[in-house]
Amino acid sequence: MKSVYSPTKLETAGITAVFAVITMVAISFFPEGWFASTSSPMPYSPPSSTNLLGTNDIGDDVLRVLLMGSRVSLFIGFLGAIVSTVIGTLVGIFAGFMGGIVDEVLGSFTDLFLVVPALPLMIVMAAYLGQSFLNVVLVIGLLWWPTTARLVRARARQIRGSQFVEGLFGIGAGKLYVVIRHVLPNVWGVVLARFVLAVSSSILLEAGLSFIGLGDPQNPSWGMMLHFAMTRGALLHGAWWTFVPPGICISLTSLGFILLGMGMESRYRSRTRSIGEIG
Amino acid sequence: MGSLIEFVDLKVIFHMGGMQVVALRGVDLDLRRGEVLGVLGESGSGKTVLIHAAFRLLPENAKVSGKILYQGKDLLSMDRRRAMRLIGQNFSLIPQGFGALNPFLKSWLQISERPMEHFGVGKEEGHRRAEFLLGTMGINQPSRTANSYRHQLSGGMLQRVLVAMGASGPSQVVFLDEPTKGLDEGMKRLVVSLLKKARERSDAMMVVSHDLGFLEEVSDRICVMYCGDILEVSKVREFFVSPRHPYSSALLNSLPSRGLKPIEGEIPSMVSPPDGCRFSPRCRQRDARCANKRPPMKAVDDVMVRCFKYA
Amino acid sequence: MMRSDLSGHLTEVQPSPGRQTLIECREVKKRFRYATKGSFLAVDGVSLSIKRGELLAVIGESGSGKTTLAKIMAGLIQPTSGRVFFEGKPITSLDRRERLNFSRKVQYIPQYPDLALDPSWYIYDSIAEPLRIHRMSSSREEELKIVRSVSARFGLSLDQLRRKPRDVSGGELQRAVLARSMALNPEVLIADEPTSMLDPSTQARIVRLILDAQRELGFAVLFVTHDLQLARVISDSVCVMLGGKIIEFGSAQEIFSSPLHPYTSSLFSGSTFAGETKDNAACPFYSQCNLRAEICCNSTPPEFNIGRFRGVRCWNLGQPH
Ligand SMILES: Nc1ncnc2c1ncn2[C@@H]1O[C@H](COP(=O)(O)OP(=O)(O)OP(=O)(O)O)[C@@H](O)[C@H]1O
Ligand SMILES: Nc1ncnc2c1ncn2[C@@H]1O[C@H](COP(=O)(O)OP(=O)(O)OP(=O)(O)O)[C@@H](O)[C@H]1O
Ligand SMILES: [Mg+2]
Ligand SMILES: [Mg+2]
Repeated sequence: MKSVYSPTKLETAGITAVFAVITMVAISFFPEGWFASTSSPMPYSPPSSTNLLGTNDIGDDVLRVLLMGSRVSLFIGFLGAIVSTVIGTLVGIFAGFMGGIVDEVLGSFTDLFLVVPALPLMIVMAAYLGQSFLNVVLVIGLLWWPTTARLVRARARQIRGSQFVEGLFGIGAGKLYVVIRHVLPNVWGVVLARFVLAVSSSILLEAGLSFIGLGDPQNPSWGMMLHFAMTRGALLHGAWWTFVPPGICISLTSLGFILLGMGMESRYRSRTRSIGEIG
Repeated sequence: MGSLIEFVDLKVIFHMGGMQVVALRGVDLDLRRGEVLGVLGESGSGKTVLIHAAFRLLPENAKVSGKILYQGKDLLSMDRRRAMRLIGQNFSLIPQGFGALNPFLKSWLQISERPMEHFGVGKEEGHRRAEFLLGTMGINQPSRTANSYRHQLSGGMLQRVLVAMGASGPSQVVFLDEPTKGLDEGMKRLVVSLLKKARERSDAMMVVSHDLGFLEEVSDRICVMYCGDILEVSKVREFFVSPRHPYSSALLNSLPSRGLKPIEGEIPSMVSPPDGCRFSPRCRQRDARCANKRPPMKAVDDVMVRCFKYA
Repeated sequence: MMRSDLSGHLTEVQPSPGRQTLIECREVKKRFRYATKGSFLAVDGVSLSIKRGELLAVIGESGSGKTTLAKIMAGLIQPTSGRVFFEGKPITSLDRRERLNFSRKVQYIPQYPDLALDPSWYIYDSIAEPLRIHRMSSSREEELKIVRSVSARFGLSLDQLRRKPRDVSGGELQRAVLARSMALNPEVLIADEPTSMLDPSTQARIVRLILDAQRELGFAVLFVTHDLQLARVISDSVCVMLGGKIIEFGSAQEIFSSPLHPYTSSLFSGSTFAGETKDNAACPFYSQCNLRAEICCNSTPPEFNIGRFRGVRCWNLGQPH
């Protein structure tokens, strides 16, 4: 039975941050006049009552760009997380469940990805694939799965070795059936927690890639805003309002997801923790 | 005689969706200093819940009311952190299920976990002690067992690992939930002698078991539970010679040596239990009162019985 | 063979040769290897058969390989050597359909109920699962009917089935596991201490239920237990295991009234005391046996057959011949 969900303080903070971003995304879908004026196309005008967060180098309202950017950042964050979680879960389950040679091959494959320094490789790949936001998603997805795979594999292995699976084979269940109906529901907790953490990392990675100019300039994300601020002289102008807000947004969003994910992970662990462990 | 732990009107209700499971229906029980209290009862009667309540191990959907007094302090209303520390240092538990063993840890680590965490025992010392404990419980190759994981051990070995977990550290009160299931006679006797030894080191023990012969041997008093109620508390001699409650005598008659006669009637459901005396639908001596009112606990020469027969 | 009927008189049980052997294993051995080093021989050359309508009790001390043997018979683990036959065919060479048939007709009841069901599934679904796998019910309603009736026999109500395994008591879970394996109407029941977590009354009820079903449907039961009283009352034949070997077998009556192997006698008198077994002795009981001789240490006693259905592995019985 579900018990009443009572989040800890950190989880509450995480949830608040996540809700804040989602609100930003929601607002960005409102008609433009609602949240930003387009009337004063003055570059680098400081925050005022018409432009709450001032304007940037081409006279765009920073608040508007920020809100639009939230869409991009969150979208890429989720998409990257989905791709990496799906790959990680599949690899993990098959490695852990099949065992033997499959496990070894997939295991060394995973380890290979784990030891490769992700960021440099990502930069190379992004540079090679070109500046499109799907590429960013792909790169993030392809590079972020190994940890997930490792965790899922450990759990799948445990389930594989457990008595109820032995019993299932005894009553005539097939391997695929067991994987889908029994292993998946039992790794679900790990997967969900990893997914939330992956959202956070994808947002950060995307910001990093965009910041060094490998993002998609057509759909500027928060990282891209920082990139523009850097390359187009906002720093020289002392126009702090163009780079502080996206910076704060990136930090808070990823922090929010991290807190939420960590909370879920420990919650999950304490749920699967046994009473023998009480101290 | 001082009581060490006192359960006062303990009620535990599990809320699940629209249902309520009344697992304990107002339990009054004291665990006295220096005694071994044997608890037996119908499957699903709330024995494990009683122990888990004392350890504050019940899940979040359990509504607990009443008191559990330990050294005069109520464990239930105490701040959780403090309660857990108090419990961890003074109580130890031999849990009922093997699910309590962590599948990823070797068994010695789990045996010595409590001494290592609460009493500053080092790793090597812990390993040595775990092997020694397993050896005293008649395990042939203690070092192999100590270094094995859960799935590598037989049922009886796992059970002894659980017993060793409960016996590994000094504790004032030991709770044992079915410590002899899956053990053969020889092992049972080893557990009996281990308990007798452990008894000198701890102040009181509460043993839940379905093995009446075992309970007869180790305990001083017997407490009989049925469907969330305590039906009878009596001295062990008295209980096995002349059980007072109809349920107790019916239970004794269902032993294989006495003919394997199960108690007639259905095993009651805890969701919609019978009114009045919970045992009344299956009781041969019931009368009109039994179905309507919960009989009070009555003292009949030293024995506490909850039955209208004695009211 | 005689089995004491529970109501008191003795009933004649068909002599074994006339009845069909359902499951049989020949010379099976199982060696477990450890990841770090070494290995352990848990079952050491066991041959055993279970016949239709027979209740065979397996007794023996903890760690003697009973569970391992039961799992091998149920096809859950592969023996290192030796073969298991089901209705005369080795189970490794069954084709898909026969394999499915085997998994329906042979049910294994595991020793620890708390690890036997998927913790994330409702108990109801776990009980219905074998029915779904074997397409035994045409509709959800029928499935509900079957599950309800089989669990009611074990004293479980639907509200207990609508919980996860961690939310019921140990005994309730054990009954759920029993209900699950009985749902398929098996022909062979391999039960590994199926009543270890039940109170005497419930235990009596469950055991009677198994016996009644056996009488009605004529299935075969392999019953692993530590409860000698229980074994004496319910079984037709008994085998006694020690150190991975069957050291004595025979009809229940004979074994309990006149045990031949020194280990069996000491088991019944309750004087076995697991001490240090000398690992290299050929007879697993060597170090504790008071009838031991030189030969017991050096060579493994073969199975001496006494009569048609009685065997003992002990040199003391073999030497005179
Ligand atoms: N988490 C839970 N949620 C709902 N009901 C529960 C939960 N835990 C236990 N129960 C119910 O409470 C009752 C008492 O359970 P408990 O585990 O104490 O039984 P028990 O006396 O230990 O029985 P057994 O001898 O079978 O182990 C049972 O009917 C059980 O179904
Ligand atoms: N998977 C495994 N890996 C390694 N050793 C194992 C494994 N399974 C069982 N063993 C070992 O095999 C031996 C026999 O185990 P088994 O479970 O068959 O005993 P048992 O007769 O059922 O005992 P019990 O009465 O205690 O249940 C034990 O010493 C055990 O440690
Ligand atoms: Mg219990
Ligand atoms: Mg076993």
